[in-house]
Amino acid sequence: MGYVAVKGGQDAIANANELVEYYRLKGRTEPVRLDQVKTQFRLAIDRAMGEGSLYAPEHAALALIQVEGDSFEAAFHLRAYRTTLERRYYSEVMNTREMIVERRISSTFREIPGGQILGPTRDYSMRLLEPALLQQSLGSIDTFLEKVQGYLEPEKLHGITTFGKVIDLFQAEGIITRETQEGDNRRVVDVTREAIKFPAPRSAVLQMLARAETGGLMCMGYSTMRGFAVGHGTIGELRVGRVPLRVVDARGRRRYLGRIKVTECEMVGGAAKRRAAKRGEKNGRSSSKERPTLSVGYGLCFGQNETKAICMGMVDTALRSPDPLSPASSQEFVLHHTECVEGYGFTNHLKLPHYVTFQSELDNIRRVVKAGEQKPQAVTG
Amino acid sequence: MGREAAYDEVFDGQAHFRALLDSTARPGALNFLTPVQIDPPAGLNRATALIAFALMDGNSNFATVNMTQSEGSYLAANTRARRTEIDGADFIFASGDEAPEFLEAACCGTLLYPDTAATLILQIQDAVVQIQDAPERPLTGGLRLTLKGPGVDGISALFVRGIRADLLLALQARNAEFPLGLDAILTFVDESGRACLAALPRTTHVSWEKC
Repeated sequence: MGYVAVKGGQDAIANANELVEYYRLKGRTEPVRLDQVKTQFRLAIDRAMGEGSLYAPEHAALALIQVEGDSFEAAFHLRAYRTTLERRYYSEVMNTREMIVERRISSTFREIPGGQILGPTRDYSMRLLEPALLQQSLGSIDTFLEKVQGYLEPEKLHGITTFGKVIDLFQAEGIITRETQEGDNRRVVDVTREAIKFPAPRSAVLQMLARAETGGLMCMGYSTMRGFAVGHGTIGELRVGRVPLRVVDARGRRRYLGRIKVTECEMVGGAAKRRAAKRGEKNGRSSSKERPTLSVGYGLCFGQNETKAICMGMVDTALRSPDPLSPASSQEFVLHHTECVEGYGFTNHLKLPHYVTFQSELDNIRRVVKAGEQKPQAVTG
Repeated sequence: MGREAAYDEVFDGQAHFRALLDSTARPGALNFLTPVQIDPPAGLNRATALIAFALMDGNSNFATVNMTQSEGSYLAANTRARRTEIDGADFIFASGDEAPEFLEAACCGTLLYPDTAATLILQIQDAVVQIQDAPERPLTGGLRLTLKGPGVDGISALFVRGIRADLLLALQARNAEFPLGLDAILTFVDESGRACLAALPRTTHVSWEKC
């Protein structure tokens, strides 16, 4: 039985598009409104914006509604939309010391300047399904909001706005340095405008990681902790909040654009090996004159996505300590395989017709089989 | 130089891009650009300006060859693209009458990233496609281009006036090492005032004779 090419034309594709829309709506419930998704699916939106590489909550909400909540598709839709946009400006370097903090914790010190602020998190919840949510109404929501807002002390609201960073404490003590690796200070590339080349400068690495797929990045980050790389870092600081963005316009004036919410993480690791390696010293030991320092891995992504920021920090550390046994310290391995649109696109291209390539494979196998069958006959005959 | 108010970046841009796509997919095929009321400076024909509007934005660079300041300013004002030297340009605007030396500086891409090559927009006087096996010569005093390669069924012929043979020769030399090379777009305004274009992508093998 031979393989027969399945014919599928434009009609079939049009029908498939219509049918998937039918499946989205066939339950005949009230349409989900954009503002509902925007306010109640905050974390899904943050994730879609991060992976879609576009800070646009309304567009992300629309994407999520349109694709029935598929995070890969939502990111894909946002990326497709962003390619139609022109990059008119590059912002000034964002300073996260200006962040209006909603949540910030450190696992390196109990006492940090400004204190630990748990903020909005499900980290300490019991992970029990909550059937009471099914009884919620606007009335019960209002009661809850009033209760929580009642905790606010208006006179203190504007007291504290920003916090010093934990990393600055390390730096003041000289435990970490501002020293960069060779090539770190090359020109800042824009991975959204030019294809990535290896070895990629740190600017490209961090940009790629910031828009990487959360699950893929977690896989890489987790592998570094389980023994496939340098080891288990510690969270120097993890903070979530809104940071001001500014651009310089064509006339040279500094313009305030607004704030974007980001999650930032600094992973502090074991003694940094790279200094010794770079200076070509034996056995990787630093000379006695040189102070040992800690390595720092940096993570930053749109919205509140702490898993991603932490994993980005771990992977950044791994990438800066090359190790042939560690997949997570190979730039090409990490950056290509955590790229959500490339990975998703390439995986799904498998569903497209491969009739010709497969037919040629099949022809080869049949030829070999046929040759094998004929050979004994030739000998006996 | 002011901005063109009548040009619609989305809908005109799409229509013109479609025409360019068709010409590139079928090298030598002439396409008309849907008319838009624009008034480019003397050194640019309307087809060139519309192709520039369709292809360029603030993230691109362009260079002009032997044009005055006003042509460059006009393109920059309408597309937000930045004017630069030929060696750094994504798009190069020149006349088909130009001496070929400027092509030497044009970027042909790299083997890993041939897509970074420059696109050449050459303004010519006019062009006519030769209908299959038609005995008469539709144009005289120009070149008869014979085109072969991807997108051409067998061979196709294009009569062109306003392009120098040594420019084609230089283009051929720069396109010798595929995938490196320059994609060229020929633009002109025909006698009834229509903005027209044809394309000679780097994959097209071009030979020519005087006619």
